[in-house]
Amino acid sequence: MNFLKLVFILFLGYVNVYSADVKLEIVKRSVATPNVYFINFTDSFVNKNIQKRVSKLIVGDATISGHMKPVEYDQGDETFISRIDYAKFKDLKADIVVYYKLVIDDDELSLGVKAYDINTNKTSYVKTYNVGKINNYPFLIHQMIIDLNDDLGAPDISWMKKLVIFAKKTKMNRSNIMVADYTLTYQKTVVSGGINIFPKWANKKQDAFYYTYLKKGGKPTIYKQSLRTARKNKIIDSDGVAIVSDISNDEKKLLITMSPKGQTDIFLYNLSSKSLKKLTRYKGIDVGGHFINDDKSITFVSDRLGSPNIFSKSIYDSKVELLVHHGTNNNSCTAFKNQVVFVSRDNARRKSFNLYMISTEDNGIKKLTSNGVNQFPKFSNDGESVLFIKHYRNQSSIGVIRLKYNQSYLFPLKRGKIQSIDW
Amino acid sequence: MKNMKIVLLSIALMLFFASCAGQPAPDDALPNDVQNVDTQANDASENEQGSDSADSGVNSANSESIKIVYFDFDEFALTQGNMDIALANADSLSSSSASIKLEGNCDEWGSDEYNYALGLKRAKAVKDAITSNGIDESRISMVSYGESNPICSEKNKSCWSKNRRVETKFLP
Repeated sequence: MNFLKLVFILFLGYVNVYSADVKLEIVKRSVATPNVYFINFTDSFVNKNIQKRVSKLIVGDATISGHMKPVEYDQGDETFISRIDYAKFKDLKADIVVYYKLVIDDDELSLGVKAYDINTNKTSYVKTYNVGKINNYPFLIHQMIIDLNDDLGAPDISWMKKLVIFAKKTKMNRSNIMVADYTLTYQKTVVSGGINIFPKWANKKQDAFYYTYLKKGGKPTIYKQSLRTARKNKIIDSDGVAIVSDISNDEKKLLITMSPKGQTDIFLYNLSSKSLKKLTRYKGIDVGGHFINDDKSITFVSDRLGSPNIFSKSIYDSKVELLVHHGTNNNSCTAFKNQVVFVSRDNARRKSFNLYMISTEDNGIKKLTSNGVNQFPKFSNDGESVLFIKHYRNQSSIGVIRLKYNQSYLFPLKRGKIQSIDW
Repeated sequence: MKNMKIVLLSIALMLFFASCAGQPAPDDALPNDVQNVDTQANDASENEQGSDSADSGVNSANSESIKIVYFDFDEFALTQGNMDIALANADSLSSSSASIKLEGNCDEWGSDEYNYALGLKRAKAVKDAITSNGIDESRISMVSYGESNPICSEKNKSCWSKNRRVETKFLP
């Protein structure tokens, strides 16, 4: 797919030149986005419901990538192809044609994929995927689209295969910790019983996580739990609140919001030495610490100016700086390099919370959402996407904003309410 | 057994590729092996905490003289009316030496750390009021349940106002 790779290189060049002048403007979708035809070649006796869900997810992933225009193409009665008809697909303006076939055996699911580059009359690649349990099929599809995207030479979208972890309120006094794919198509409960909140991945491998258990009559307690064995270890507890807000790049230090003396402050916790260092000392609310600047500084939320706002400070001294000069009621934030996405409460409609993005290098600001209660923004590893929770009209959803493409997508939770999230 | 299954699946898929492409073009090499999609979800296990009911281990300070203290939207300061309730509670609590838990709660508008801190500030406001009225600080512990422990789940202002509260509980 050399031709398409060249197109993407040109496209990226355009983005970089453009963004050098206007940091926070959203770049419009390139006209060079290839048309990708997906053709289901699964045997007719395979469960139609699964076929339908797989097909929907393929088209969804391809769309959300921002790097392809998917077309679901029905071959009609053509059950056998002697050879791909490049001329026909050229007439249809297809750039890539992808045949796929699901094979289900007991609880095992495999997917065969063959992709053709219509512009060069060549087979692009052939792959076969296996994901074990049928219920894990979303990860199989995400991997397929990631590979197709890589083959196109498009910017990385490997964030698609990451596990999302979230707390789901199921009823009064009950909140479970769940893992899911980013579309919530796959979901599994990993902690249940009582109130379990604020899950946070313990490492980049995503094989363990921290969470807070609110035991009635006891202190809020932070546990670390293995995803595979479900074995948990107590990390620390505190009167009032105890929440893991962030983990250092080397995964050896935690930023914890605690209130051992009735005031919420941010503490740096060394997992090896089990030592605590108090980073904030204001007598009001200091919460939600996040590492920035190679873990030498933090952003955090404080009401030290009378209402909550986003501040930053070094972990080595006490000097505090106001980071966000927009709005007077900003409750949480996520940072990637010089970009900060924060939650701001609408002053006119006090029960509306929206996401904004600023650059720390200039005064540019961009509103990312326009209605509902939008919370817990989290940048992807590459800084190109933001995951968040949206509550709107009594429904919780996971939202994904593709920053470069000015697109956002919502994946609603059928039952329950999402309390917090990490990915 | 699992490997055998994968081999059989591979054969099925190879037949698919063969039928799909007919006479393979020179670059139509079939894959030699199956790529297992690596996801931690394959191995995820569940941990069930103890059956922790809403009131296990604690008892509501349900003497009629101990009242719930309610708060305005996004506020943690005690109004004069609420201060009077807190002080009256202190009088009632002074007749016992039991440990006390002050539980701060919020309405559903927000579930982030700031909301939990707000719940704690409400509990702290009540704590300051009752300790200033003679209750020994060492008897008191606090917790914030944020929005996770509502007593009313309807979607209206009356219900939300019931959830913005501090409850006083006796510990065993």
